[in-house]
This record gives sequence, C-alpha cells and structure tokens, in this order.
Amino acid sequence: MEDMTKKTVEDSTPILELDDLYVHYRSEGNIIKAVNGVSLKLGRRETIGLVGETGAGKTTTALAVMQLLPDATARIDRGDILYNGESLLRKSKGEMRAIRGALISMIFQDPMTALNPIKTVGAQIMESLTIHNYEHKSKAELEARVDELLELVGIKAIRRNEYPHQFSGGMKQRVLIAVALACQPQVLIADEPTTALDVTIQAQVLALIEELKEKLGTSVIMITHDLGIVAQTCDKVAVMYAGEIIEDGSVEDIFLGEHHHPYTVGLFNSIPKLDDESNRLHPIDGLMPDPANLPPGCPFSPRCHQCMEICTREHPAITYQKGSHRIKCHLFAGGEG
Amino acid sequence: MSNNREENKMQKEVHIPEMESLDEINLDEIPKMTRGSQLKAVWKRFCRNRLAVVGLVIFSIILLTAIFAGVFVPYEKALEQNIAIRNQTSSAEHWLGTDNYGRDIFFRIIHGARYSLLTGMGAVAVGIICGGILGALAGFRGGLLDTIIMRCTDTLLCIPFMLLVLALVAALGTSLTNVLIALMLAMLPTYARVIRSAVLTVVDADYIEASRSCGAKIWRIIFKHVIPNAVGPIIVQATMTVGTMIIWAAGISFLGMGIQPPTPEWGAMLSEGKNFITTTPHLVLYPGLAIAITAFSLNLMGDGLRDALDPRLKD
Repeated sequence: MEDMTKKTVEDSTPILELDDLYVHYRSEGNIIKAVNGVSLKLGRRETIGLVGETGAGKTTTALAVMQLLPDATARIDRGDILYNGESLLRKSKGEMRAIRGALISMIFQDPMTALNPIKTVGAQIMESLTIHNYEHKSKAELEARVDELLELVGIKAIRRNEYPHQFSGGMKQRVLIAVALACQPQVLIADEPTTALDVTIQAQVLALIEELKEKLGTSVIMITHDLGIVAQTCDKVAVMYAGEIIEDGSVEDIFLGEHHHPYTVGLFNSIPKLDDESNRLHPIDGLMPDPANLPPGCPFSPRCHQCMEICTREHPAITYQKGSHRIKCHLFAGGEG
Repeated sequence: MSNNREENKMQKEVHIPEMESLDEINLDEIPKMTRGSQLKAVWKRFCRNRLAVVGLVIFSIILLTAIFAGVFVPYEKALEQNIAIRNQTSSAEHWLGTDNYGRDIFFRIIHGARYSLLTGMGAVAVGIICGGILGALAGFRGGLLDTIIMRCTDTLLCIPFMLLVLALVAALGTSLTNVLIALMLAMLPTYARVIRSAVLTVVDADYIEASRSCGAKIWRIIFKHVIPNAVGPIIVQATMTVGTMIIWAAGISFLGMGIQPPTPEWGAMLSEGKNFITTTPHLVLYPGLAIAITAFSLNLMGDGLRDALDPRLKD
C-alpha cells in the first residue's frame, strides 16, 4: 500500500519543469534576449508542443534543458530547470553528462547533418550505449541492443554496418531516433523532427515517436511550427513568441477554446484552408522583433491588429485563465479570467 | 530484468507502416563491427588506387632500407675513403659511383636514408602532435584561447622559415636532435593553422552537438568525431611536408648547422657534391633523386590514404 501512495505522489510531480527561465546571449556588446521567463510543466507520458515562428526561442529552450548552450555567449540569467524535482542547473558537468542521452535526449532537426558521415550507423547508436553502460554489459549484449534498436525504428539490423550516406533522409531520421532512444530516456526533446522530411515519411516518423512514447512511457517535448503535427501528437501546447510563452493550455484549449492571443489567431489564420476560395494566404504582418531590442510593452504589439495604448507601454502578465488555458494579453485584462 | 521484458514486448508489438518483414534475417549472420573490419575496408579502398599502391611500395622499400641499412652494408663501408677511386661514375663495383673522397655513393645513400627519414618523419610526427593539440584546442574551444594560440602562430609565421630554423639551431647547438626540434618548432604554426581550420569545418556540425547530447566527454568528441572527420587535410599536409622536411634538413646541413660530415645525410651529400656539379654531376644527382623519389612516393601515398579514409568516396 505504501508503495502505491508513494508512486502516485511521484507520478504527480512533473518529470521536467521549467521555472521562469531566462536565457540571454551576449555578443559584441548586444544582449540577445532569446528566452524570457518561460515556465513549463511536462508530466509523465505527456507530450507538450512548443509552437512558434523561427527565432521564437524554441531551440534555445531545448538546448537550455540539455545544458548544451554555447558557454562563451549564452547564460541562463534567471529561473531554474527541474528534472524530477532536482535542479539541472546545479548539477556538475559530469552529472549532466550522465543525464544527457540517458535520461533526457534530443532528436535533432536535420537528419542529413546530425550523423557523423564517417562512422557506421551501428557505431553511432553504440556510442550512446557505451557512454552510459553503467551495468558493464558485454560488447555482445550492446551489439544485440543496437540490432534491436534498429529494428525498433524499422531498419533491418543487417544494415548497421552501413554509413549514413547510404540511407535516405527518413531512414537517417530513424537512426537518430534510435540513437536518442538507445538508453530509454525519460524525456525526449524532438526539435522539429520532421521539418527535413517529406510528408509520407513525416507521418511515419511521427507515428513511430508516438508509438515508442506509449511503449517506453517517455515524455516528449515536440518543437515544431506545424500546427498539424501539434494536433496529431500533443497533449499540451505552448505558443512561444519572442522568447515568451504567450498562450498555453491543452490541445483542446488551443484548438477549440473560445479566447486566444491575437498571435495564436494569426497563426491559425495563416494555415491555408481547403474550403477557402481566396487566392492569397493570410500571413501575420511584419516580423518577429529583434531579440536584442525588444519593445517595452507586449512583444507582439507592433504586429497586433488589436493593439491598444497600454500594449506598447506595459508588459502583459497572465490575464486570462480558464482551467489549464492561460493567455498573456491585455485584451483579457477586463476580468474574464 | 523488467527492462528486458519490456524491451522484448516492445519489439514484438511495434508496427511501423510500410516496413519490410524482418523475419528472414538471422542476426548471427550480421558481421560484427570491429576495428579490424574497418581497417580492412580502408585497405581495400586504398588498394583500388594503383598510384597510391606504387607510392606505398616505393616508400616501404626506402623505409626498410633505412631500417636494415646495417644488414645490407656495414656503416664503416659508407665512411671508407679511397682517394685512388674518387669521383668515379657507375661501375660493377660501385653501383652509383664514388664521391670526391672515393666513398661509395650507393652505400652512403642507403645509410643516409636513416638520417633523412628520421629528420623528415620525426619533425613531422612531433610537429603534427604538438600542432594538432594546439590547433584542435583553438578550433574546438574558440574564444580567448583561440586568439592567444593563433596570434602566437602568426608571430612565428612572420619570421622567415630558414632564419627561424637557423636561429634555433644556433641557439641550441648542432646535433640531430636539435635540428629535429628546430624543424618541429618552425613547422608547428603551419600545422596548428591547418588543423585548426580542419577542426573548424567540423566543430559546428550537428553530429558534434548530437554526440554532446548523448553525454559524450570533450576528449571523446575530439578523438572520435572531430579528428577522424578532419584527418583528410592533416594527412595530406603531413605526407607532403615529410618531403619538404627532408629538403630543409638538407638545407641546414648544407649551411653547416645540421648533421655534420662525414655522416652520410642526403642533404649533406648534396652540399658536398655541389662543388663538383659541372665535372661529376652524379655526386648531386643520386642524393637528389633519393630525396625526390622519397617525397614523390609519400605524396602518392598520402593522396591515396586520404581517399581511402573517407567512406563517402567508397564507390
């Protein structure tokens, strides 16, 4: 009985929690504010979608979790990253290395370049296994595991002595997934895992991630700018803009909720619709603000159609909250929350 | 234990769309990934390049000659003077003729191979290792360390090569070791730069970051990912400069600051023979040919090796 209660308590703590995270890059006197106060909670077996334009700070957030930010320029100025309730920022480099790849791993954006061209795919999967071989398994056992992983992602084990250039893009992405899953991580960060792939392969890779998630109980952070992928795979969604989460909630909240941040509305409007007769797409006007020079008020205010006087002056806090659905926008300051 | 069971279950249940059947594969038939099999693959690719094999054969002969010089001909024979037969051309007794002291040129070239190869390869080997560490650190770490290392190498590169070597030898004294040290120090900045730029081309690659995301240590990344990917230009640079080093060592000997006569060093032989170039040109011809053939074979070999080490050029 005691075990049971303990387990539920453990299960209810999020596996990964970002608490008011600030990451700034310093270069040539400029301070580039890439991530500004991101808070996220990733539950066990949960998939959270991180959505936003290029440059919104999605990848920086992921790298911060992995502690792979470039030492020379990037710094976490504030906030904390908790894995299983423990701060990753206070871990030593050695402890962090033991976590990377084993407990938290990452699938990179471009499968064409994320594999070492002069090593066989088997050797590259093996690397992660060897690094985290704490149980001192024999080489034969590890090789058996390599074969198993390859077959898990749908590649014949017989091909493990081949080099990356002998695989197609989708196959390479699968190899990368095999590398990331080698040590059965608790958290998988997928940084636009399907951007470089065509639509059929995209569907296969997503189905694979989904399936492995079920089987292994891994939690996933899915970084993407494709709302279709979000609807298909995620439990929760966080919309990022200029390094902030401006709206978050469950998939239902974001796709079906009654109120939205004007940016989220813009994102949805810019998806071409099959039943729409018009010849033009509906993009959001303007560009993401320069992260070295963010506007004083709401970062979206220069592009917002519903911009009010207060928006240019004052940074909005969370003004709307209904269940898990939260929005940072002055439009809802009136009290609907 | 539970892990294992979970994996087994997983393997059975996963269905990937459009996946070919895996049933017919027998896992025992898959060749194991071993260092041996990779070396074999490199060797196979190397053999496909005929010129490279020719280079390897020539260089092997020279190298074996150098190693077993004493077995073929006792060292004393290379120093034996006989004024009666000086400056003779080729004959059955003296295959490549004799020099102005009546010493057998063929014997001297055989023993000279030892000194020439030792200076050439030694200077390159030590230079590559030291320059490699500096260059790899500069390229991999970047920032202030990069600036400091690169500005130091720039400074060294400003000084004319020969002047630097002569100054170093003059300061250290004339001996084989000191010539080696001087050549190594003079080559160091070049190697550091080549290796730094080779490292820079791969250090930002995604697979380096992917390796870090697997929890790999910095030295593991440098040795397993960065250097193997950057090794092409390094090998070419190394094999090309062995020839250059032999020539430079000869140059130092020529100026009287290197290996001292009567030691049979190819460069020293060249400089001794140069006074007789108009009357008995074979005194410079044969040592010169020895240097040229060695350098040539090394270049052929280096090119072949570079191609063989890159699996992308496999077919």
